[in-house]
Amino acid sequence: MKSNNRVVMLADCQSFYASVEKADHPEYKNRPLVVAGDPERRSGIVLAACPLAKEKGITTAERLGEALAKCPDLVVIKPRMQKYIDVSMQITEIYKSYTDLVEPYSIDEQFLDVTGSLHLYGTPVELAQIIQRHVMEATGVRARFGIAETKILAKTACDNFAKKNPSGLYILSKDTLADTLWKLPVSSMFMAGSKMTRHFNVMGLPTIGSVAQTPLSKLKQMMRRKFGKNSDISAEMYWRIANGIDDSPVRPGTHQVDPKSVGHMMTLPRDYAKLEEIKVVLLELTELVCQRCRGLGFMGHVVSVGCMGADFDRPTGFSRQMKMDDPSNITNQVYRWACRLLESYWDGLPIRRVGISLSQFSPDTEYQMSLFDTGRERSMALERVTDALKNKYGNSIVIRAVSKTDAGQALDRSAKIGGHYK
Amino acid sequence: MTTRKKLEGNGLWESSRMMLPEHKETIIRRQLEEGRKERPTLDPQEMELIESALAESFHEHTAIKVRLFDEYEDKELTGIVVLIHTVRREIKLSMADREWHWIKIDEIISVR
Repeated sequence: MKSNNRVVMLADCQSFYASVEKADHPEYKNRPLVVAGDPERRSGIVLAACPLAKEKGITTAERLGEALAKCPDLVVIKPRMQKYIDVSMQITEIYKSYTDLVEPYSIDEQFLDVTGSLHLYGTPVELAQIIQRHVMEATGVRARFGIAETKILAKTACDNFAKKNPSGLYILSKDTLADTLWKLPVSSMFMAGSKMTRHFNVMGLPTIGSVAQTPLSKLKQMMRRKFGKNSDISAEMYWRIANGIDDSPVRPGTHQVDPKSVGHMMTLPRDYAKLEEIKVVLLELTELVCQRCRGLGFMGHVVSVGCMGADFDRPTGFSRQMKMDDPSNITNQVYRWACRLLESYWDGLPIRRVGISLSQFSPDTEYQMSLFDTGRERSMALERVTDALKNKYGNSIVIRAVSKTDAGQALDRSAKIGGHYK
Repeated sequence: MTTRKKLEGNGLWESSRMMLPEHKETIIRRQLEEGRKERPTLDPQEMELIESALAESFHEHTAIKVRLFDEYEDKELTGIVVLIHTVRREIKLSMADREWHWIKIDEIISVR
């Protein structure tokens, strides 16, 4: 099928977390509601606000205290991340009953290529309406659809037009770009953050249309003058976005690619100033990283450790990597190397953030025997058992003794997804 | 941020998406489960056809293509049957480059 007759949709869920909570709590149906991280602390952040709350002027990412000031009878609900993942998967299944080409782009946005099955349902708008009703009836969530012939135009149609349409649907066709997309300010362009918007304005390109209509070679020149000669690819990317040119497929298996590195990082609940304390968290993170690598069947050869200082005004810290003697995914082995990095590069100042990652993978079906490390088979057997237990009962079922100390974070972390409680 | 990959294949979207690792794992697990299939039950006539094709390859030294069952993706191997172990119900399939494989007859779902 040629790319110019594709029908691609980007389906986005309105106020996703808040909608899921409202569907689950019918008693709050007509009340303004937000989902906020840590409602006990007024400094918690609004993760999602329902349309009623938005009417009161509440916006996503504002402080809970400010939201409550605008709307004292606000219903505040703690996030339940696992629930949102489950509902997102349920919605994916609904989409998949209309086309097998479904690609989740985030927890509340998914691409659908309906080119092959459209004839069974009628026009693109009719199909979008059918899916919209289906999702609403099954989950109580309102989905909005940007419809176009490429992924970039579908995304653009959804963000800029479908969300503002009462129907929640919008078709963006390539021949009407001049009257629609190109009239919008460059700040509305996909991938253009506040910095890039400023740069475009300074370059005399205030609208998406002005970027689109600058010849690519000239745009490259203009950006080279600002960002140096490595900016050609960025220039081409923005130029293609502005013109709606995008031959990317909707790829359902996109998440199955082998990772280049596996890492975990965490912000600590307080500043850590003692080496022993930092080491406890480092061990816990190493455990998680190695556990994931073992699950994937990989061993890493390079270990990287990063720490960020506690004082935001005078940034300190380091990020260093080291090649281990042999590839490994055994927690204690990797931890020994991570400790060497920490001990060599930590400047002794209190830290707020620790991270570790493994990269340069090889399959863990073959490994180098070592004359000196005779405990390897035993460690591997032990970790197979603990991994199996954790997969079945959750990560808190077996923990290291140090995790019970004051510095330990493993228990708290195992109860969270993305920094919020499950 | 400026890598060539952004302009190729699905690069623009793979480099810009925000996915919770837990969400990603659920998606991958679901996809693997969906790709998993049941072992087909062969009827006795098909079994006979397979066995006679294996016997023919063994006696005539003709190359055959056997299809082996796998939960996710079937595998096809081409070669000549050089040994038949009736007790273990296995055949030795000799392939190009002096490679050979022991194959359980029960894994075979078709022969061409």
